[in-house]
Amino acid sequence: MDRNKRLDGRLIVITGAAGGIGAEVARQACQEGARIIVSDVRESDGQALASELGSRARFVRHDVTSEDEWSSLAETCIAEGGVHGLVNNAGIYDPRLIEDTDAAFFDRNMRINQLGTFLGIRFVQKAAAPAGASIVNASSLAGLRGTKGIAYTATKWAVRGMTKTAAVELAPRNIRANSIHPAFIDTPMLAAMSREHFEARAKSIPLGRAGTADDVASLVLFLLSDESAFITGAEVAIDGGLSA
Amino acid sequence: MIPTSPHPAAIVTGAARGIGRATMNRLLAAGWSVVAVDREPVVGIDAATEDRVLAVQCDLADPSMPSEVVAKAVGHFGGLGLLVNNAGISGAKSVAETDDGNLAQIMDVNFTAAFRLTREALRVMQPGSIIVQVASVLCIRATPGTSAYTASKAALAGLTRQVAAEYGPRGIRCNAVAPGLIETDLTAEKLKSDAGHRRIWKDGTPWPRLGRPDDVAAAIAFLASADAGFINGHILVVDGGWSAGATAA
Repeated sequence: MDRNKRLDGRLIVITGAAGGIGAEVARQACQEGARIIVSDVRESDGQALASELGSRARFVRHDVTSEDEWSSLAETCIAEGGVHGLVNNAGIYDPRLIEDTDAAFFDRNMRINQLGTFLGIRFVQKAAAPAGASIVNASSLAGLRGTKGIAYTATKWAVRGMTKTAAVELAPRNIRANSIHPAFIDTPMLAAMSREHFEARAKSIPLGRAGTADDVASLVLFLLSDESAFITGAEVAIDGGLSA
Repeated sequence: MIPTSPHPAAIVTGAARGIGRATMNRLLAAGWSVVAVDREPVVGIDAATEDRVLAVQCDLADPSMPSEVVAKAVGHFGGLGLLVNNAGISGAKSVAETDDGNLAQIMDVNFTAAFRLTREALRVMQPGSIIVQVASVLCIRATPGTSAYTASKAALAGLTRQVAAEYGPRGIRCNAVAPGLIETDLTAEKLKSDAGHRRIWKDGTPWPRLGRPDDVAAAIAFLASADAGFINGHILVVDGGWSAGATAA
């Protein structure tokens, strides 16, 4: 097996790809020979990443809560032979206590993290390549345990559940779906957490360090590739042992 | 996947056939040396990799064997960077049908031998080393009539998390794979002859095909690689969606 071409020629859509984990997934997938659609609402960062990755990557300004935008992305992908992989990575992280969570804030989390992921699953159902596809949904440790941040936790448990339904329902069409559950990954998204708190908590991880975007991207690549051909409906923790 | 552990020698138990054999092949291709342990002779090793294989024929239920196997690995290859506890026996009996003899036999091989090998390996492993246990998806979802087997594999899953918590701080990762029904000579026969078994496993697996030994080997090779460097204490299901579903068995 040529390890450098694990995704040779495959069309992969990555949401929230302009920075952090999404950008690292895009870089690794590109190295593995994939054609990449960098989906994000952050235009300048998204464009910059697509140029960095070269001719096999392009940026699409894409709001994951918009059904119409997913539909037009589906048309694009179908015209190119169908999509082989979707990484539902876009999301917001703004953990708030119950007392600080009102309906509007709860709804905003639901729309981006949960509805966005659902629309992505539906997009693959519609636009998958005839040979099948692999969906990787970004949940979190917050999708395995209770964490302070009730709206975020709710959406990440929802992502975990939707992944299992997608795995069961779409398996006959060779579409796999797995969720990943990172915790303490050192990316700009964790700016919501103070640096002191982050470092103190990182020390409580059994492996004694925080994770990196590269760590998570390596797992995503495994789940997109044929090395995980019989893995579907799995919830893969990537947290250094925190949830063990 | 390139070994990143401090020592490129691995122990794989149950290496003569099935998942163990496929794992040995994947690890050899990735550059590991392998101590291939089995009750049966490990035959048919590719001449090109022969010098990186040490076959050890023994019964791991013998309490003295785990330390002997680890000593052999260290003696022959100079160290140990990876342990894959794959050896196991099946047992299709309900709780009521399982007598003390059946229980001891299954626990001795599936759990106690794996525990002893884990303990002995941890005594010689350096930071960066890796342990992968081969549990079962029955740790996650039960079916009637596999009581002692399921319990032995659940014990192994518990050990996995425990080792992750205890030895993570020393830089040793421990994970497990939890295979669903994997087609081997043994399982193919049972699938053909046992309609109930077929209904639970073949009809209950959403994925259009059943698993192959190499599917599990690929997951083990991933967990043993640097690509899984932040994954610790995880039970990775390799089951075609069997445990994700809720279809009545």
